Amino acid sequence: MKKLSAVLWVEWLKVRKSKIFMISIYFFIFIGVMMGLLMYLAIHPEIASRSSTIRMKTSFLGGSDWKALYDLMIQLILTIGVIGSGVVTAWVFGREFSDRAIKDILALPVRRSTIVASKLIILLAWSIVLSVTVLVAAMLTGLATGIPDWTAAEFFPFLKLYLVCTLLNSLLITPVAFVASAGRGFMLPISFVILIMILSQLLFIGLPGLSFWFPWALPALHSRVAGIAIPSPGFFSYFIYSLTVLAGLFGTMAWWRFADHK
Amino acid sequence: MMNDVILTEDLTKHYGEVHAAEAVQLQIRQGEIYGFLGLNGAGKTTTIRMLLGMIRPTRGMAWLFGKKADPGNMELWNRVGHMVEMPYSYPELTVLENLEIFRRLRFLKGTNMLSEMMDQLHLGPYRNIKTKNLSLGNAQRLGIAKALIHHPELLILDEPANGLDPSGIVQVRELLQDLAGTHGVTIFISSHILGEISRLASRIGIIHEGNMIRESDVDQLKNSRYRALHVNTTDNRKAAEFLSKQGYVPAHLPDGSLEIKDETAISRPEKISALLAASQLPPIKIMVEEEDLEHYFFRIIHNNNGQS
Repeated sequence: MKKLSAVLWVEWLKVRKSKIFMISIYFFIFIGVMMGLLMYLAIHPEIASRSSTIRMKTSFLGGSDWKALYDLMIQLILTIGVIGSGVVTAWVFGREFSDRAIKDILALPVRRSTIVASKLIILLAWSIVLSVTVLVAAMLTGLATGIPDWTAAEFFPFLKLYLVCTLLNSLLITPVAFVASAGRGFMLPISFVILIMILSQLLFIGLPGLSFWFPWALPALHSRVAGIAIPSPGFFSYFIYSLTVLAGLFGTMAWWRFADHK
Repeated sequence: MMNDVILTEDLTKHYGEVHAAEAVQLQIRQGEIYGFLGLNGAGKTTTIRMLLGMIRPTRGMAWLFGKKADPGNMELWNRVGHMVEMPYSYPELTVLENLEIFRRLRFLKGTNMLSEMMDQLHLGPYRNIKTKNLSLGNAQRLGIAKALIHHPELLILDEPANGLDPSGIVQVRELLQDLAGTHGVTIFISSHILGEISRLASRIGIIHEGNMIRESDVDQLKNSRYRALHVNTTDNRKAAEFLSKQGYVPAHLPDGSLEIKDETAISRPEKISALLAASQLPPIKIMVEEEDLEHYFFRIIHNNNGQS
Protein backbone atom coordinates (compact mmCIF):
# COMPACT_ATOMS: atom_id res chain seq x y z
CA MET A 1 0.00 0.00 0.00
CA LYS A 2 2.91 2.28 0.89
CA LYS A 3 4.43 1.51 -2.49
CA LEU A 4 1.16 2.13 -4.33
CA SER A 5 0.70 5.51 -2.64
CA ALA A 6 4.28 6.53 -3.53
CA VAL A 7 3.74 5.61 -7.18
CA LEU A 8 0.34 7.30 -7.20
CA TRP A 9 2.01 10.47 -5.94
CA VAL A 10 4.56 10.27 -8.74
CA GLU A 11 1.94 9.66 -11.41
CA TRP A 12 -0.21 12.49 -10.10
CA LEU A 13 2.81 14.83 -10.19
CA LYS A 14 3.46 13.92 -13.82
CA VAL A 15 -0.20 14.51 -14.73
CA ARG A 16 -0.75 17.77 -12.87
CA LYS A 17 2.44 19.29 -14.24
CA SER A 18 1.53 18.43 -17.81
CA LYS A 19 -0.13 20.85 -20.21
CA ILE A 20 -2.56 18.22 -21.41
CA PHE A 21 -4.24 18.05 -17.98
CA MET A 22 -5.45 21.64 -17.96
CA ILE A 23 -6.12 21.57 -21.72
CA SER A 24 -8.41 18.57 -21.22
CA ILE A 25 -10.28 20.35 -18.40
CA TYR A 26 -10.70 23.55 -20.45
CA PHE A 27 -11.80 21.55 -23.47
CA PHE A 28 -14.47 19.71 -21.49
CA ILE A 29 -15.68 22.97 -19.93
CA PHE A 30 -15.96 24.41 -23.45
CA ILE A 31 -17.96 21.40 -24.65
CA GLY A 32 -20.24 21.64 -21.60
CA VAL A 33 -20.87 25.34 -22.18
CA MET A 34 -21.63 24.60 -25.84
CA MET A 35 -24.23 22.03 -24.78
CA GLY A 36 -25.85 24.55 -22.45
CA LEU A 37 -25.90 27.13 -25.23
CA LEU A 38 -27.44 24.59 -27.59
CA MET A 39 -30.28 24.29 -25.07
CA TYR A 40 -30.59 28.07 -25.08
CA LEU A 41 -31.08 27.89 -28.84
CA ALA A 42 -33.70 25.21 -28.38
CA ILE A 43 -35.54 27.49 -25.95
CA HIS A 44 -35.25 30.40 -28.39
CA PRO A 45 -35.84 28.85 -31.83
CA GLU A 46 -36.07 32.29 -33.39
CA ILE A 47 -32.27 32.63 -33.04
CA ALA A 48 -31.67 29.21 -34.53
CA SER A 49 -33.91 29.94 -37.48
CA ARG A 50 -31.26 32.26 -38.91
CA SER A 51 -28.86 29.38 -39.43
CA SER A 52 -29.90 26.07 -40.97
CA THR A 53 -26.92 24.29 -39.39
CA ILE A 54 -27.85 25.37 -35.89
CA ARG A 55 -31.52 24.67 -36.60
CA MET A 56 -30.62 21.14 -37.61
CA LYS A 57 -28.52 20.67 -34.49
CA THR A 58 -31.24 21.87 -32.14
CA SER A 59 -33.93 19.87 -33.96
CA PHE A 60 -32.72 16.53 -32.58
CA LEU A 61 -32.74 17.70 -28.98
CA GLY A 62 -36.28 16.50 -28.53
CA GLY A 63 -37.29 19.40 -26.35
CA SER A 64 -36.11 22.50 -24.59
CA ASP A 65 -36.21 21.34 -20.98
CA TRP A 66 -33.84 19.72 -18.50
CA LYS A 67 -34.86 16.27 -19.71
CA ALA A 68 -33.60 17.19 -23.19
CA LEU A 69 -30.29 18.38 -21.73
CA TYR A 70 -29.93 15.18 -19.72
CA ASP A 71 -30.51 13.05 -22.83
CA LEU A 72 -28.00 15.16 -24.69
CA MET A 73 -25.43 14.77 -21.93
CA ILE A 74 -25.80 10.99 -21.87
CA GLN A 75 -25.24 10.87 -25.63
CA LEU A 76 -22.33 13.23 -25.28
CA ILE A 77 -20.55 11.30 -22.57
CA LEU A 78 -20.96 8.07 -24.52
CA THR A 79 -18.96 9.53 -27.39
CA ILE A 80 -16.70 12.29 -26.15
CA GLY A 81 -16.10 10.42 -22.90
CA VAL A 82 -14.54 7.54 -24.83
CA ILE A 83 -12.41 9.92 -26.87
CA GLY A 84 -11.37 11.98 -23.82
CA SER A 85 -10.38 9.08 -21.61
CA GLY A 86 -8.78 7.32 -24.59
CA VAL A 87 -6.61 10.29 -25.50
CA VAL A 88 -5.41 10.91 -21.94
CA THR A 89 -4.65 7.19 -21.57
CA ALA A 90 -2.68 7.29 -24.81
CA TRP A 91 -0.73 10.19 -23.34
CA VAL A 92 -0.08 8.78 -19.86
CA PHE A 93 1.22 5.48 -21.20
CA GLY A 94 2.57 6.66 -24.55
CA ARG A 95 4.66 9.50 -23.10
CA GLU A 96 6.82 7.06 -21.15
CA PHE A 97 7.97 5.75 -24.49
CA SER A 98 8.05 8.94 -26.54
CA ASP A 99 9.91 10.76 -23.72
CA ARG A 100 12.08 7.66 -23.37
CA ALA A 101 11.60 7.82 -19.64
CA ILE A 102 10.44 4.23 -19.27
CA LYS A 103 13.95 2.76 -19.05
CA ASP A 104 14.48 4.62 -15.77
CA ILE A 105 11.43 3.15 -14.06
CA LEU A 106 11.90 -0.51 -14.95
CA ALA A 107 14.73 -1.50 -12.59
CA LEU A 108 13.38 -0.06 -9.34
CA PRO A 109 12.27 -1.65 -6.08
CA VAL A 110 8.66 -1.22 -7.17
CA ARG A 111 6.72 -3.71 -9.22
CA ARG A 112 6.01 -2.71 -12.78
CA SER A 113 2.40 -3.84 -12.25
CA THR A 114 2.17 -1.25 -9.43
CA ILE A 115 3.24 1.44 -11.88
CA VAL A 116 0.61 0.27 -14.40
CA ALA A 117 -2.07 0.10 -11.69
CA SER A 118 -1.19 3.62 -10.47
CA LYS A 119 -1.40 5.02 -13.96
CA LEU A 120 -4.80 3.41 -14.46
CA ILE A 121 -6.12 4.67 -11.12
CA ILE A 122 -5.02 8.21 -11.97
CA LEU A 123 -6.57 7.86 -15.43
CA LEU A 124 -9.83 6.57 -14.01
CA ALA A 125 -9.97 9.59 -11.70
CA TRP A 126 -9.02 11.91 -14.57
CA SER A 127 -11.77 10.46 -16.80
CA ILE A 128 -14.35 10.88 -14.03
CA VAL A 129 -13.19 14.46 -13.42
CA LEU A 130 -13.62 15.22 -17.14
CA SER A 131 -17.14 13.73 -17.18
CA VAL A 132 -18.16 15.69 -14.10
CA THR A 133 -16.55 18.83 -15.54
CA VAL A 134 -18.52 18.69 -18.78
CA LEU A 135 -21.73 18.02 -16.83
CA VAL A 136 -21.21 20.85 -14.36
CA ALA A 137 -20.32 23.25 -17.21
CA ALA A 138 -23.42 22.23 -19.16
CA MET A 139 -25.73 22.50 -16.15
CA LEU A 140 -24.39 25.85 -15.02
CA THR A 141 -24.79 27.17 -18.55
CA GLY A 142 -28.27 25.62 -18.58
CA LEU A 143 -29.12 27.41 -15.34
CA ALA A 144 -27.77 30.68 -16.67
CA THR A 145 -29.75 30.35 -19.87
CA GLY A 146 -32.94 29.64 -17.94
CA ILE A 147 -33.91 26.09 -18.86
CA PRO A 148 -37.27 25.67 -17.12
CA ASP A 149 -38.67 23.15 -14.67
CA TRP A 150 -35.70 21.62 -12.86
CA THR A 151 -36.77 18.81 -10.55
CA ALA A 152 -34.73 16.63 -8.25
CA ALA A 153 -36.91 13.66 -9.19
CA GLU A 154 -35.70 13.95 -12.77
CA PHE A 155 -32.13 14.96 -11.99
CA PHE A 156 -30.96 12.28 -9.60
CA PRO A 157 -31.92 9.23 -11.72
CA PHE A 158 -30.18 10.97 -14.63
CA LEU A 159 -27.09 11.66 -12.51
CA LYS A 160 -26.92 8.03 -11.46
CA LEU A 161 -27.14 6.84 -15.05
CA TYR A 162 -24.62 9.46 -16.16
CA LEU A 163 -22.10 8.35 -13.56
CA VAL A 164 -22.62 4.68 -14.37
CA CYS A 165 -22.04 5.42 -18.07
CA THR A 166 -18.95 7.42 -17.12
CA LEU A 167 -17.60 4.52 -15.11
CA LEU A 168 -18.41 1.96 -17.82
CA ASN A 169 -16.66 4.16 -20.36
CA SER A 170 -13.68 4.91 -18.14
CA LEU A 171 -12.94 1.29 -17.35
CA LEU A 172 -12.47 0.68 -21.06
CA ILE A 173 -9.16 2.55 -20.91
CA THR A 174 -7.32 -0.68 -20.12
CA PRO A 175 -7.18 -1.94 -23.73
CA VAL A 176 -6.04 1.57 -24.79
CA ALA A 177 -3.26 1.35 -22.18
CA PHE A 178 -2.20 -1.97 -23.67
CA VAL A 179 -2.14 -0.59 -27.22
CA ALA A 180 -0.13 2.46 -26.05
CA SER A 181 2.40 0.21 -24.29
CA ALA A 182 2.75 -2.33 -27.07
CA GLY A 183 2.78 0.45 -29.68
CA ARG A 184 5.34 2.42 -27.61
CA GLY A 185 3.84 5.86 -28.16
CA PHE A 186 0.71 7.95 -28.78
CA MET A 187 -0.18 7.38 -32.40
CA LEU A 188 -1.33 3.79 -32.27
CA PRO A 189 -3.63 4.14 -29.23
CA ILE A 190 -5.20 7.34 -30.58
CA SER A 191 -5.84 5.60 -33.91
CA PHE A 192 -7.25 2.69 -31.92
CA VAL A 193 -9.68 4.97 -30.06
CA ILE A 194 -10.84 6.55 -33.34
CA LEU A 195 -11.28 3.13 -34.88
CA ILE A 196 -13.32 1.97 -31.88
CA MET A 197 -15.57 5.04 -32.18
CA ILE A 198 -16.15 4.44 -35.89
CA LEU A 199 -16.80 0.73 -35.31
CA SER A 200 -19.28 1.49 -32.52
CA GLN A 201 -21.23 3.87 -34.74
CA LEU A 202 -21.19 1.49 -37.72
CA LEU A 203 -22.39 -1.39 -35.58
CA PHE A 204 -25.25 0.64 -34.14
CA ILE A 205 -26.40 1.72 -37.57
CA GLY A 206 -25.55 -1.29 -39.71
CA LEU A 207 -25.49 -4.35 -37.48
CA PRO A 208 -27.27 -3.48 -34.24
CA GLY A 209 -27.43 -7.16 -33.29
CA LEU A 210 -23.65 -7.32 -33.10
CA SER A 211 -23.50 -4.34 -30.74
CA PHE A 212 -24.36 -6.68 -27.91
CA TRP A 213 -21.04 -8.46 -28.49
CA PHE A 214 -19.01 -5.30 -28.78
CA PRO A 215 -17.66 -4.13 -25.39
CA TRP A 216 -17.46 -0.46 -26.37
CA ALA A 217 -21.19 -0.52 -27.18
CA LEU A 218 -22.12 -1.66 -23.68
CA PRO A 219 -22.25 1.79 -22.03
CA ALA A 220 -24.66 2.98 -24.73
CA LEU A 221 -26.74 -0.18 -24.51
CA HIS A 222 -26.81 0.08 -20.74
CA SER A 223 -27.98 3.69 -20.94
CA ARG A 224 -30.85 2.72 -23.29
CA VAL A 225 -29.96 5.85 -25.21
CA ALA A 226 -31.20 4.28 -28.45
CA GLY A 227 -34.69 3.97 -27.02
CA ILE A 228 -36.82 1.10 -25.79
CA ALA A 229 -36.95 -0.54 -29.23
CA ILE A 230 -33.47 -1.96 -28.61
CA PRO A 231 -33.44 -4.55 -25.81
CA SER A 232 -31.29 -4.27 -22.69
CA PRO A 233 -27.85 -5.86 -22.77
CA GLY A 234 -27.82 -9.35 -21.30
CA PHE A 235 -25.32 -11.31 -19.26
CA PHE A 236 -23.05 -11.97 -22.25
CA SER A 237 -22.71 -8.28 -23.07
CA TYR A 238 -21.56 -7.56 -19.51
CA PHE A 239 -19.38 -10.66 -19.56
CA ILE A 240 -17.60 -9.64 -22.79
CA TYR A 241 -17.24 -6.12 -21.48
CA SER A 242 -15.69 -7.33 -18.19
CA LEU A 243 -13.42 -9.70 -20.07
CA THR A 244 -12.19 -6.83 -22.26
CA VAL A 245 -11.45 -4.60 -19.26
CA LEU A 246 -9.62 -7.40 -17.45
CA ALA A 247 -7.74 -8.48 -20.58
CA GLY A 248 -6.60 -4.88 -21.05
CA LEU A 249 -5.52 -4.62 -17.41
CA PHE A 250 -3.62 -7.88 -17.17
CA GLY A 251 -2.37 -7.62 -20.75
CA THR A 252 -0.80 -4.22 -19.97
CA MET A 253 0.72 -5.50 -16.73
CA ALA A 254 2.08 -8.59 -18.46
CA TRP A 255 3.50 -6.52 -21.28
CA TRP A 256 5.34 -4.21 -18.88
CA ARG A 257 6.61 -7.21 -16.95
CA PHE A 258 7.61 -9.59 -19.73
CA ALA A 259 8.16 -7.67 -22.98
CA ASP A 260 11.65 -6.69 -24.10
CA HIS A 261 12.21 -3.02 -23.29
CA LYS A 262 14.74 -2.18 -25.97
CA MET B 1 30.99 -16.50 -7.10
CA MET B 2 30.25 -15.05 -3.65
CA ASN B 3 32.33 -11.93 -4.28
CA ASP B 4 31.11 -11.49 -7.82
CA VAL B 5 28.84 -8.52 -8.06
CA ILE B 6 28.10 -9.18 -11.72
CA LEU B 7 28.28 -12.64 -13.21
CA THR B 8 26.97 -13.68 -16.59
CA GLU B 9 27.01 -17.01 -18.28
CA ASP B 10 26.51 -17.40 -22.00
CA LEU B 11 24.45 -14.21 -21.98
CA THR B 12 22.96 -14.01 -25.47
CA LYS B 13 20.33 -11.93 -27.21
CA HIS B 14 19.15 -12.48 -30.75
CA TYR B 15 16.61 -10.33 -32.57
CA GLY B 16 15.73 -12.60 -35.46
CA GLU B 17 18.85 -12.72 -37.59
CA VAL B 18 20.57 -10.00 -35.60
CA HIS B 19 22.90 -11.30 -32.89
CA ALA B 20 22.91 -8.29 -30.58
CA ALA B 21 24.92 -10.08 -27.88
CA GLU B 22 26.53 -13.49 -28.17
CA ALA B 23 27.60 -15.60 -25.18
CA VAL B 24 28.83 -12.65 -23.14
CA GLN B 25 30.78 -13.81 -20.09
CA LEU B 26 31.35 -11.26 -17.34
CA GLN B 27 32.71 -11.69 -13.86
CA ILE B 28 33.09 -8.48 -11.91
CA ARG B 29 34.22 -8.33 -8.32
CA GLN B 30 33.21 -5.96 -5.58
CA GLY B 31 34.85 -2.53 -5.75
CA GLU B 32 36.04 -3.03 -9.30
CA ILE B 33 35.56 -0.43 -12.03
CA TYR B 34 34.90 -2.39 -15.17
CA GLY B 35 35.05 -0.64 -18.51
CA PHE B 36 32.81 -2.14 -21.16
CA LEU B 37 34.11 -0.95 -24.46
CA GLY B 38 32.65 -1.16 -27.92
CA LEU B 39 31.61 0.84 -30.94
CA ASN B 40 28.01 2.00 -31.36
CA GLY B 41 25.84 -1.04 -31.98
CA ALA B 42 28.44 -3.44 -30.58
CA GLY B 43 26.02 -4.86 -28.01
CA LYS B 44 26.90 -2.74 -24.96
CA THR B 45 23.41 -1.41 -24.30
CA THR B 46 21.77 -4.77 -25.02
CA THR B 47 24.05 -6.39 -22.45
CA ILE B 48 23.36 -3.63 -19.93
CA ARG B 49 19.62 -3.95 -20.44
CA MET B 50 19.88 -7.69 -19.85
CA LEU B 51 21.83 -7.02 -16.63
CA LEU B 52 19.01 -4.72 -15.54
CA GLY B 53 16.24 -7.18 -16.40
CA MET B 54 14.84 -4.96 -19.14
CA ILE B 55 15.44 -7.51 -21.87
CA ARG B 56 15.02 -11.25 -21.54
CA PRO B 57 18.08 -13.13 -22.77
CA THR B 58 17.59 -15.53 -25.65
CA ARG B 59 20.04 -17.81 -23.88
CA GLY B 60 22.17 -17.71 -20.76
CA MET B 61 21.72 -15.80 -17.56
CA ALA B 62 22.92 -12.85 -15.52
CA TRP B 63 23.33 -12.62 -11.76
CA LEU B 64 23.83 -9.52 -9.66
CA PHE B 65 25.05 -10.11 -6.10
CA GLY B 66 24.44 -13.81 -6.71
CA LYS B 67 20.76 -13.24 -7.51
CA LYS B 68 19.15 -13.63 -10.89
CA ALA B 69 18.77 -10.31 -12.67
CA ASP B 70 15.01 -10.47 -12.84
CA PRO B 71 12.49 -7.61 -12.75
CA GLY B 72 10.58 -9.40 -9.99
CA ASN B 73 13.64 -9.40 -7.70
CA MET B 74 12.63 -6.19 -5.92
CA GLU B 75 15.32 -6.16 -3.24
CA LEU B 76 18.03 -6.43 -5.86
CA TRP B 77 17.15 -3.09 -7.43
CA ASN B 78 17.66 -1.32 -4.09
CA ARG B 79 21.34 -2.17 -4.46
CA VAL B 80 21.71 -1.10 -8.09
CA GLY B 81 21.83 2.36 -9.65
CA HIS B 82 21.67 2.67 -13.39
CA MET B 83 21.71 5.01 -16.34
CA VAL B 84 20.93 3.50 -19.71
CA GLU B 85 21.71 5.29 -22.96
CA MET B 86 20.86 8.97 -23.25
CA PRO B 87 19.66 10.58 -20.01
CA TYR B 88 16.01 11.37 -20.67
CA SER B 89 13.85 12.81 -17.92
CA TYR B 90 10.28 14.06 -17.71
CA PRO B 91 10.71 17.27 -19.72
CA GLU B 92 7.96 19.37 -18.12
CA LEU B 93 9.28 18.66 -14.62
CA THR B 94 12.16 20.47 -12.95
CA VAL B 95 15.48 18.91 -11.96
CA LEU B 96 14.30 18.76 -8.34
CA GLU B 97 10.96 17.18 -9.28
CA ASN B 98 12.66 14.58 -11.43
CA LEU B 99 14.93 13.65 -8.53
CA GLU B 100 11.97 13.67 -6.15
CA ILE B 101 10.28 11.08 -8.38
CA PHE B 102 13.18 8.70 -7.86
CA ARG B 103 13.42 9.45 -4.15
CA ARG B 104 9.78 8.38 -3.85
CA LEU B 105 10.04 5.39 -6.18
CA ARG B 106 13.00 4.17 -4.13
CA PHE B 107 11.14 4.87 -0.87
CA LEU B 108 13.95 6.98 0.57
CA LYS B 109 13.28 8.88 3.77
CA GLY B 110 14.17 12.55 4.17
CA THR B 111 14.89 15.01 1.40
CA ASN B 112 18.48 15.96 2.27
CA MET B 113 19.90 13.62 -0.30
CA LEU B 114 18.28 15.66 -3.06
CA SER B 115 20.31 18.79 -2.28
CA GLU B 116 23.35 16.64 -1.56
CA MET B 117 23.08 14.96 -4.93
CA MET B 118 22.52 18.24 -6.78
CA ASP B 119 25.53 19.82 -5.07
CA GLN B 120 27.70 16.82 -5.78
CA LEU B 121 26.86 16.95 -9.47
CA HIS B 122 26.86 20.76 -9.71
CA LEU B 123 23.14 20.85 -10.48
CA GLY B 124 22.25 23.28 -7.66
CA PRO B 125 21.72 26.33 -9.89
CA TYR B 126 19.38 24.33 -12.13
CA ARG B 127 17.18 22.80 -9.42
CA ASN B 128 14.06 24.68 -10.53
CA ILE B 129 14.75 24.53 -14.26
CA LYS B 130 12.52 22.29 -16.36
CA THR B 131 14.63 19.46 -17.71
CA LYS B 132 13.54 20.17 -21.30
CA ASN B 133 15.64 23.35 -20.98
CA LEU B 134 18.79 21.61 -19.71
CA SER B 135 21.94 21.28 -21.78
CA LEU B 136 22.98 17.76 -22.72
CA GLY B 137 25.78 17.89 -20.15
CA ASN B 138 23.44 18.86 -17.32
CA ALA B 139 20.88 16.29 -18.45
CA GLN B 140 23.70 13.75 -18.19
CA ARG B 141 24.51 14.94 -14.65
CA LEU B 142 20.85 14.56 -13.73
CA GLY B 143 20.91 11.03 -15.14
CA ILE B 144 23.92 10.21 -12.95
CA ALA B 145 22.25 11.85 -9.93
CA LYS B 146 19.17 9.64 -10.44
CA ALA B 147 21.44 6.60 -10.52
CA LEU B 148 23.28 7.61 -7.34
CA ILE B 149 20.44 8.95 -5.21
CA HIS B 150 20.07 5.79 -3.09
CA HIS B 151 23.82 5.17 -2.64
CA PRO B 152 23.86 1.92 -4.60
CA GLU B 153 26.44 -0.81 -4.16
CA LEU B 154 26.53 -1.39 -7.90
CA LEU B 155 26.43 1.34 -10.49
CA ILE B 156 25.71 0.49 -14.11
CA LEU B 157 26.36 3.45 -16.37
CA ASP B 158 25.94 3.49 -20.12
CA GLU B 159 28.30 6.03 -21.68
CA PRO B 160 28.11 8.59 -18.84
CA ALA B 161 30.69 10.87 -20.49
CA ASN B 162 28.35 11.61 -23.41
CA GLY B 163 27.67 15.31 -23.74
CA LEU B 164 29.88 16.31 -20.82
CA ASP B 165 32.48 19.00 -21.37
CA PRO B 166 36.11 18.22 -20.41
CA SER B 167 35.73 19.57 -16.88
CA GLY B 168 32.49 17.61 -16.47
CA ILE B 169 34.27 14.45 -17.59
CA VAL B 170 36.97 15.03 -14.96
CA GLN B 171 34.37 15.73 -12.24
CA VAL B 172 32.42 12.58 -13.03
CA ARG B 173 35.59 10.53 -13.27
CA GLU B 174 36.75 11.75 -9.84
CA LEU B 175 33.32 11.11 -8.39
CA LEU B 176 33.28 7.54 -9.69
CA GLN B 177 36.84 6.91 -8.54
CA ASP B 178 35.88 8.13 -5.09
CA LEU B 179 32.78 5.92 -5.03
CA ALA B 180 34.80 2.85 -5.95
CA GLY B 181 37.92 3.68 -3.95
CA THR B 182 36.39 5.08 -0.75
CA HIS B 183 32.98 3.47 -0.65
CA GLY B 184 33.65 0.15 -2.36
CA VAL B 185 31.00 0.72 -5.00
CA THR B 186 31.30 -1.62 -7.97
CA ILE B 187 31.04 0.27 -11.24
CA PHE B 188 30.19 -1.15 -14.64
CA ILE B 189 30.67 1.58 -17.19
CA SER B 190 30.30 1.40 -20.94
CA SER B 191 32.06 3.61 -23.42
CA HIS B 192 33.27 3.77 -26.99
CA ILE B 193 36.38 5.76 -26.06
CA LEU B 194 39.27 3.60 -24.85
CA GLY B 195 41.39 6.60 -23.87
CA GLU B 196 38.73 7.84 -21.47
CA ILE B 197 37.77 4.50 -20.02
CA SER B 198 41.39 3.45 -19.44
CA ARG B 199 41.84 6.40 -17.06
CA LEU B 200 39.01 5.16 -14.90
CA ALA B 201 38.63 1.40 -15.17
CA SER B 202 40.81 -1.26 -13.63
CA ARG B 203 39.68 -3.89 -16.10
CA ILE B 204 38.33 -3.59 -19.59
CA GLY B 205 36.22 -5.86 -21.76
CA ILE B 206 35.88 -5.17 -25.45
CA ILE B 207 32.69 -6.17 -27.24
CA HIS B 208 32.36 -6.13 -30.99
CA GLU B 209 29.39 -7.23 -33.08
CA GLY B 210 27.89 -8.85 -29.99
CA ASN B 211 30.99 -10.86 -29.09
CA MET B 212 33.46 -10.26 -26.28
CA ILE B 213 36.73 -10.14 -28.15
CA ARG B 214 39.14 -9.23 -25.37
CA GLU B 215 39.21 -8.78 -21.65
CA SER B 216 42.19 -7.71 -19.61
CA ASP B 217 43.55 -5.43 -16.91
CA VAL B 218 44.15 -1.90 -18.06
CA ASP B 219 47.93 -2.14 -17.51
CA GLN B 220 48.08 -5.35 -19.48
CA LEU B 221 46.04 -3.74 -22.22
CA LYS B 222 48.33 -0.74 -22.36
CA ASN B 223 51.32 -3.05 -22.62
CA SER B 224 49.71 -4.95 -25.47
CA ARG B 225 49.83 -1.87 -27.65
CA TYR B 226 52.29 -1.63 -30.50
CA ARG B 227 55.58 -0.18 -29.29
CA ALA B 228 58.83 -0.04 -31.26
CA LEU B 229 62.00 1.93 -31.63
CA HIS B 230 62.27 3.61 -35.03
CA VAL B 231 65.82 4.40 -36.16
CA ASN B 232 67.12 6.19 -39.23
CA THR B 233 70.88 6.33 -39.89
CA THR B 234 73.17 7.36 -42.76
CA ASP B 235 73.26 3.70 -43.89
CA ASN B 236 70.32 1.65 -42.63
CA ARG B 237 71.48 -1.58 -44.32
CA LYS B 238 74.79 -1.52 -42.47
CA ALA B 239 73.08 -0.43 -39.26
CA ALA B 240 70.71 -3.44 -39.50
CA GLU B 241 73.65 -5.83 -39.91
CA PHE B 242 75.44 -4.20 -36.98
CA LEU B 243 72.42 -4.31 -34.66
CA SER B 244 71.74 -7.96 -35.57
CA LYS B 245 75.28 -8.80 -34.49
CA GLN B 246 74.53 -7.02 -31.20
CA GLY B 247 71.59 -9.37 -30.61
CA TYR B 248 68.72 -7.10 -31.67
CA VAL B 249 66.13 -7.98 -34.31
CA PRO B 250 65.79 -4.96 -36.59
CA ALA B 251 63.31 -4.90 -39.47
CA HIS B 252 63.04 -2.54 -42.41
CA LEU B 253 60.00 -0.29 -42.53
CA PRO B 254 58.51 0.69 -45.93
CA ASP B 255 60.21 4.11 -45.72
CA GLY B 256 63.61 2.39 -45.27
CA SER B 257 64.04 3.18 -41.59
CA LEU B 258 64.59 0.44 -39.03
CA GLU B 259 62.07 -0.91 -36.53
CA ILE B 260 63.26 -2.64 -33.35
CA LYS B 261 60.60 -4.20 -31.15
CA ASP B 262 62.98 -5.58 -28.48
CA GLU B 263 61.89 -4.32 -25.07
CA THR B 264 65.54 -3.65 -24.11
CA ALA B 265 65.88 -1.29 -27.10
CA ILE B 266 62.56 0.46 -26.44
CA SER B 267 63.38 1.04 -22.79
CA ARG B 268 66.99 2.17 -23.48
CA PRO B 269 67.04 4.04 -26.82
CA GLU B 270 70.12 6.02 -25.73
CA LYS B 271 72.09 2.75 -25.63
CA ILE B 272 71.22 2.02 -29.28
CA SER B 273 72.11 5.58 -30.18
CA ALA B 274 75.55 5.26 -28.50
CA LEU B 275 76.23 1.88 -30.13
CA LEU B 276 75.42 3.20 -33.60
CA ALA B 277 77.48 6.37 -33.12
CA ALA B 278 80.48 4.36 -31.92
CA SER B 279 80.41 2.25 -35.09
CA GLN B 280 80.30 5.29 -37.42
CA LEU B 281 76.57 4.91 -38.07
CA PRO B 282 75.21 7.89 -36.17
CA PRO B 283 71.40 7.99 -36.01
CA ILE B 284 69.70 10.84 -37.88
CA LYS B 285 66.44 10.05 -36.13
CA ILE B 286 65.69 7.78 -33.20
CA MET B 287 62.32 7.64 -31.44
CA VAL B 288 60.00 5.35 -29.55
CA GLU B 289 56.74 4.89 -31.46
CA GLU B 290 53.81 4.08 -29.20
CA GLU B 291 50.38 3.26 -30.53
CA ASP B 292 47.67 5.40 -29.01
CA LEU B 293 44.80 3.64 -27.30
CA GLU B 294 42.19 4.48 -29.89
CA HIS B 295 44.34 3.11 -32.67
CA TYR B 296 44.95 0.01 -30.64
CA PHE B 297 41.20 -0.39 -30.08
CA PHE B 298 40.49 -0.13 -33.81
CA ARG B 299 43.30 -2.57 -34.58
CA ILE B 300 41.82 -5.16 -32.22
CA ILE B 301 38.43 -4.72 -33.84
CA HIS B 302 39.91 -4.83 -37.32
CA ASN B 303 41.85 -8.00 -36.53
CA ASN B 304 38.69 -9.53 -35.19
CA ASN B 305 36.83 -8.66 -38.39
CA GLY B 306 39.63 -10.33 -40.34
CA GLN B 307 39.29 -13.50 -38.30
CA SER B 308 35.50 -13.71 -38.50
